[in-house]
Amino acid sequence: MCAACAKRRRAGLSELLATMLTLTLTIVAGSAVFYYVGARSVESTSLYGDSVNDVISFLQEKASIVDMNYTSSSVTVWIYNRGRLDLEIAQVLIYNYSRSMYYLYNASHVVDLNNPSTYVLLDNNPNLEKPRFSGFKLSPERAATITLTIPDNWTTFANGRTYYISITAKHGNVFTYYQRW
Amino acid sequence: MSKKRGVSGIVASVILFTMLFTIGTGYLIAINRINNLYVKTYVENSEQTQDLLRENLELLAMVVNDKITLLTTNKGELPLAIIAIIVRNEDGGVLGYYNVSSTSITPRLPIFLNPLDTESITTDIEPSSLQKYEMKLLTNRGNIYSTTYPPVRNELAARALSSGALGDIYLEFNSYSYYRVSSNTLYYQGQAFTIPVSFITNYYSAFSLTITNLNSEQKNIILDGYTRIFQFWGVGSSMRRVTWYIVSNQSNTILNNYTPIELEYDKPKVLVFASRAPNTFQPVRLSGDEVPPQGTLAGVLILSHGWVGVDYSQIGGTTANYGQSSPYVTTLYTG
Repeated sequence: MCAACAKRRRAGLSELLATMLTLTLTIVAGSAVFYYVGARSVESTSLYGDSVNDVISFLQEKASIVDMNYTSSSVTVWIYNRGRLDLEIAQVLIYNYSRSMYYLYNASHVVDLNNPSTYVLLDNNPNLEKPRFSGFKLSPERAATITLTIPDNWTTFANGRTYYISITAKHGNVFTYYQRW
Repeated sequence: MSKKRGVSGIVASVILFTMLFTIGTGYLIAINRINNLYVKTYVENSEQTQDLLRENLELLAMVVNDKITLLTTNKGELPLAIIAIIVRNEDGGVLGYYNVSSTSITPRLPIFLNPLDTESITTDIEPSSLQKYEMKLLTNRGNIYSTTYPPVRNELAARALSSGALGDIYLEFNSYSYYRVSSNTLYYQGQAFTIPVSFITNYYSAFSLTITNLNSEQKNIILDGYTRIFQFWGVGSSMRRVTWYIVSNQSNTILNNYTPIELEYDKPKVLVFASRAPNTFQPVRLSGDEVPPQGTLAGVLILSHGWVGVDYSQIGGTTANYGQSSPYVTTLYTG
């Protein structure tokens, strides 16, 4: 083999290697960028989708409070689901005009909001909330009642007074109603 | 050799472009699909809200064959369905709750009404002449319509009050009465539209009237000790006046100290006016210039003062936020 031929072969090898390296680098770098951007794209789409889904759920969650019926220690509330989703209740506030009575019912507690250290655990007193919000689900175009009982030794309802109720549903809508006993 | 370099560059570019195009297109398609879903829901929600507002049901409660009957007319632009009815008494007790499974209502629910359709709905409730009833109807869109049987006082009064002339207090005209007062005891004499002058000078006197709080926001009203009845008449070019301040009472007995009186919404309350001074009972017997001459027609005002929308337990630390002067009746002083 002549010297010139050997030199030309070495030159061809290095060029091939260089091309292979360049392609490899391009593919590796491109793949890395592809997967990174793809992952971010999926994440972004997912976050946006979740966010829009929350808004859609908020828009589709609707209810009408039809009536309230009192005894001195309890109130029964008629609620009608006029939305397109099952209605789930997160919490209920009961209060009078001056908020000297201000009670919160949620899935686990009844709390006197004027004195938050005063609360009752519903697991120990399940009859205070019927049905329990943790298991309450009202289908669209259905009406149901919930009965909330005031814990012993708390201020009770007085005949002739007006009381307000605010129901906060799972997706953030608040439905408020008032009625005089 | 230069051709080979060009090919590899093109191949690399195509690969890169494909990658970016794949990601970008996928992203755009996903976002577009989410946006379309949002727009669709938003439009549906708006339409639902508009439908709710376009629904209008007119109600009239009456008694037919001894049963409470509701005459319903769809005055809206859309068909509607009545899916539930609640009947309550005046005390808030639920007398009847009718839904699609109730058989004691005619016709059975749901009741579908096209625009301008009328339907007479008969319940199984026989009204007592002494009771008032409230009926609520629920439609499938979630609107609630209510009416009462018979039309209650505040509905009638609301029309009279619509000019604002009488404010929050509804005065029962015929309840205006006068009393003789002896040792803190009230003795009823009759309606106070005509009173002998001799009575007002010989005896301690008091007045009473029945008022009802019809505050448009259904807030309570609490009257302080400055609430009074005020009688006035002219003598020549001068004006004379006499005042009876509000007092607390237990039945026919006047208490020595006044305790603010709460007027709950739509609950009639008899108020007694018997004192010469606010907050404490000082009996009133007229003498001297205070005595209206025979034939005097005295104008009577009720000046009410106190708190509105304040809880009774809070009035001690709250400045009074209510005051009203109500033109009321007249008293003729005869010989």
